[in-house]
Amino acid sequence: MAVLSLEAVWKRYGEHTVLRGVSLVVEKGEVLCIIGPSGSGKSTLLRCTACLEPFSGGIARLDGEILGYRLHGIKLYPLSSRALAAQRTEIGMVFQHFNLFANLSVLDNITLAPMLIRKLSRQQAEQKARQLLERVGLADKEKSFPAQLSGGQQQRVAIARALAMEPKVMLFDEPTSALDPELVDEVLVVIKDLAQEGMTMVVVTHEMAFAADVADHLIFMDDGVIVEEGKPISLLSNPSNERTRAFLRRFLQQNKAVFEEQAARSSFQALSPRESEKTRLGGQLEKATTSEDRSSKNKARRPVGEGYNQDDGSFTLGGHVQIIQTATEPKIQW
Amino acid sequence: MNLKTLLHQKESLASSNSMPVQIASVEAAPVSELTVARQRHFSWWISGTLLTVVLAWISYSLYANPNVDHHTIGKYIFSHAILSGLRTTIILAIVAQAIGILLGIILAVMRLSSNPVGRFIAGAYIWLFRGTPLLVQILFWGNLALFYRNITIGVPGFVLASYATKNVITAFVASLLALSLNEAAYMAEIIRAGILSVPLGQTDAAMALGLSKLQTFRKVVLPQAMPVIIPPSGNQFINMVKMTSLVSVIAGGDLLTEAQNIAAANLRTIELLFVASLWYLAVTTLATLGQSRIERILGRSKRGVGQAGSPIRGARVLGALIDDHA
Ligand SMILES: Nc1ncnc2c1ncn2[C@@H]1O[C@H](COP(=O)(O)OP(=O)(O)O)[C@@H](O)[C@H]1O
Ligand SMILES: [Mg+2]
Repeated sequence: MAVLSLEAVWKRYGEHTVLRGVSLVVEKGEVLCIIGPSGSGKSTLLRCTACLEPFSGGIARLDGEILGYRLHGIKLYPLSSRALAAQRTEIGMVFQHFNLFANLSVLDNITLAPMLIRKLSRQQAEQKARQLLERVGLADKEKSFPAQLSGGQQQRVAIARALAMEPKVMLFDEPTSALDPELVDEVLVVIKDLAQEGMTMVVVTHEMAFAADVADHLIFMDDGVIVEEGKPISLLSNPSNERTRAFLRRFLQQNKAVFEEQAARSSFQALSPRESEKTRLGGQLEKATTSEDRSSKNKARRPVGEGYNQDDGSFTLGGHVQIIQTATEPKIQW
Repeated sequence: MNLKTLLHQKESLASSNSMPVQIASVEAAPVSELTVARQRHFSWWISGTLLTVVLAWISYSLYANPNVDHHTIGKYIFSHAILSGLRTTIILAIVAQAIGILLGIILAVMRLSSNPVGRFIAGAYIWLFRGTPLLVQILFWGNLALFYRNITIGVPGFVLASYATKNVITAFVASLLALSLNEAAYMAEIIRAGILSVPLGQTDAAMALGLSKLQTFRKVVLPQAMPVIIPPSGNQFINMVKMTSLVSVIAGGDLLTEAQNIAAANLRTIELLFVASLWYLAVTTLATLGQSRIERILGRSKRGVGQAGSPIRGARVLGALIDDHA
């Protein structure tokens, strides 16, 4: 059953049209990744879905319920701010710049909404918050303030904060783009862990290796429309649309240095996390890997690295990540 | 020491780094025995001496002035009338500031709201109360009875209650109204700046979690605006203590009113101005101490580089520490 569906969603800011009829469906437990050049409307799409911005046209549904509006006859009436707030509690949002409440400790950041809105007692809320902190590997940081944490730690707290409301769907807006390269993995591991536990998610990301590993579907957006959609591997390795090809080509070139460095560190090895990562995350990954084995979907075992042939324009993940374009395109390697 | 020795030292540094003491012994003593001499601040001594002389001279001229009767100052400073005036001044300042803050928050929120009517009302209010002198506003409230004889509650044709203005708007109430309504206009601008200093992402995150607008404001926005709001509010309060003296023009019963009443009787005007000034100084000194204490507490929670009010930070901003090694 579709948890989240968007039908022909439009968004205008005055004269400027940002989204031009975006439709998508996310099934329960599915992970949808969105890529696309900056300014293509990815953040706007997530903000509209999270009811942070009203959209100008179209309909979004969460578990069948229309987001932001009440349907009466053939007319849509905007919801009261109270009803809107109630809908927002069902959608978890993780921002590019974490947006932890600077005036609150890590623990209070997580317990604030459950206590105010779900009416949990402080004790219940804190117990739950501690479980979540444990899950994101920050059990020892509950008394810290956001400014005392690294970006990666802040983002993991932000994920815990969103999870504390037990949302039906989690939206991530470039969760690792503001992080130093060496902090990216600790956040991606947490997100991947969530995916394996069956959380329904929409992730805007530029981490192609991560998208290829975790996503069930990949969308390429440009200029407010979905240009191409498909299985991540086929979309990344064999894009059918010229704009997708151009984006991937440009993206790969621009980020060549980053990828080379990542490859040298043998970084996010989505298929088999390395020992060093396990120790770095203080045992958290231990959990991630074991839950991976327990996972019924077992999607992490998708034979990405092996199944694709390098000779005929293929996609390889692992020690050295590689995306090779189709024969008509110049071959790009790093 | 000649070049050859230096080169030799370099060589020995390159060849063996196990004996660092040898390198320092090029100078008079090993590095471990070198000490930094205290820098002398001659300018501090000169300016200090000058200041002492000037202050001593002014104090003496005041003390020796035959027209100032010190005995009168001593007699009235703890007198009943003066202390009662002092109490009124303190109550006026605190209550007017409190009302000013509450009304200021409402005005600031209105000014920032998406509701054009709210924005207009707040803007007009601030325009009016900041655009006219406080003294004039005080005179207006004090003379309200001249153009509104009665204050009536009800609709035209039906009177629920009616009071004579001079009974409701006493000199004290007029003073309080004038001071707090005027203060609200200034606080509104301070609070607005504080609210605008909070990053938009904070509101986004709170709203995304499902907090209402009011919850977002109370739990997230206002606490983070406080460090920006409090320092100028402290200045506002210190100003307020002094501005209460303006209500003496409508006989507001404050410290200056009382001092002037006494002076009118005994013609010791200067002495009673001294009495009032000493009390104003005492109150503003206490307020300043309270302010720096609050700023210190705020600074602690921010854990930033140097607190806002600390002399170290001030000197560093001006680049003084870079020259001085103070
Ligand atoms: N609040 C806003 N007002 C006006 N234009 C906006 C606003 N937010 C975003 N935009 C515009 O919408 C376009 C898409 O932005 P965004 O969704 O942030 O793209 P992306 O996240 O893909 O980089 C950009 O051209 C941006 O300038
Ligand atoms: Mg964006």
